[in-house]
Amino acid sequence: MLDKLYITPKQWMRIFRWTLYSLLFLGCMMLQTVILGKHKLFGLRPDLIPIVISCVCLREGPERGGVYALCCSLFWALSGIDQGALMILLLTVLPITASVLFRRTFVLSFASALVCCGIILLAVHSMGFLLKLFYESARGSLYFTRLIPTVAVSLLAQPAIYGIVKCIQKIGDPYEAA
Amino acid sequence: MNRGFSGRVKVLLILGVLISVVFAVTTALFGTGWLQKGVQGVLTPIRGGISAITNQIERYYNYVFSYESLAAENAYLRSRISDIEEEMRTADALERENKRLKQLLNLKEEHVDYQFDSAYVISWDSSGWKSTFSINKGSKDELAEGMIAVTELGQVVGIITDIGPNWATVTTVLDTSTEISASIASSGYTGVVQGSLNSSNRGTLRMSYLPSDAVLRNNDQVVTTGSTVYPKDLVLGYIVDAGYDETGVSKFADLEPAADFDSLEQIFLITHFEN
Repeated sequence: MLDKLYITPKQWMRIFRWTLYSLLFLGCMMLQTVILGKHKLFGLRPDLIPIVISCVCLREGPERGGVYALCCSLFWALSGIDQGALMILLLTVLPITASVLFRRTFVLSFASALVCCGIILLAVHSMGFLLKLFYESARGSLYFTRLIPTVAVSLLAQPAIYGIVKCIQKIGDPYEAA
Repeated sequence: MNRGFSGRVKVLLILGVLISVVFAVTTALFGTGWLQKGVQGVLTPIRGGISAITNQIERYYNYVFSYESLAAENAYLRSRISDIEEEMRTADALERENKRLKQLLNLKEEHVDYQFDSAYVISWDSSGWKSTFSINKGSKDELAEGMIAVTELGQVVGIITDIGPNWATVTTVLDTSTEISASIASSGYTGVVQGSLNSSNRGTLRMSYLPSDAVLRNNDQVVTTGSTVYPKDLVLGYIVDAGYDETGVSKFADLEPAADFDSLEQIFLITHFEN
């Protein structure tokens, strides 16, 4: 019984790695809602959450990354954001689909990940904007004057987030290879 | 290595769709659930802590890098205080005269009793399409949905729209969902003030349904008319632009909000009032 409870070094490393991914998500969430919520960047509020989820999904693959995407998007929606249900759907389906298609077509590199994150960000924000356009009083011109700049400003954080995710992914590499 | 949509991936995609549908339905039917309240309850102390640290760093930064401007501001404020003291002395005399005239006309002075509770802003909505923020007090502190948030100067900030034990969400007047009955203080024209999404990243307000013959001047103060929700005579903003609406039968006025949302740290909630 007790030997079944024993956690192997490989399992420890996995636990450590996914704890760090969770802390990265929580850190970005706090940065986005607390600090950047008050002090805007170029007058805009960058959206870091889709970038974190996309980067982890791309690096870890659609299966493990997909579970992460589902958990993070659910937690993000439960934290009281606008359009919570839509965010669960988009932040789970888009990164998983992107990860599958991306791994089939491209070699994983910083540039390709940047493009992929940009597409996911644009899709997430565009869907949210479409709902605003149909159900609330948003004007179409805001797509170009507010949405596109927000996506561009958000992407400024992608290199840093991608770098951190890459470092975290390396934890436990020797064990995984074995 | 499986590079397609494996069984597990398909299960995850279906789970994502199912959870989002369940989330949408439960939120629409029952509002904020216990799970959502729980998550926000856990996040509130973390957000509060980070917010406090950030504010402290900001104060330190301002102290170090803005000393000269603070010294100049201090000198200016000192001169303003002496001016205001002079004005207060004049106002006291006018107030006494006013009281006498009211007694003479047998007018009954209205007394509005406000009771306040203060709270700190701990996080902001990050979507850019909504204007809401969270505060560090909730139902445990006897706050309730529908209470009005104002600044220390009595400028309207927003209304509590969601609440948990140790947190509350305030939807600001800049949000497009907000509608407040208001009037122009100087002329008495009434209309409806709504939050407005515009291309500039600074939020504005729009006062609609003003009479077509209304004379609107820049910097005219717009205040609440008073209702069961909003107390009377709270300052909403100042007119910066005006024109005819699409129908051509009524006028609108664009307002600059009175409250400075960019530097909002502490707010005051009106827990009780009598209009």
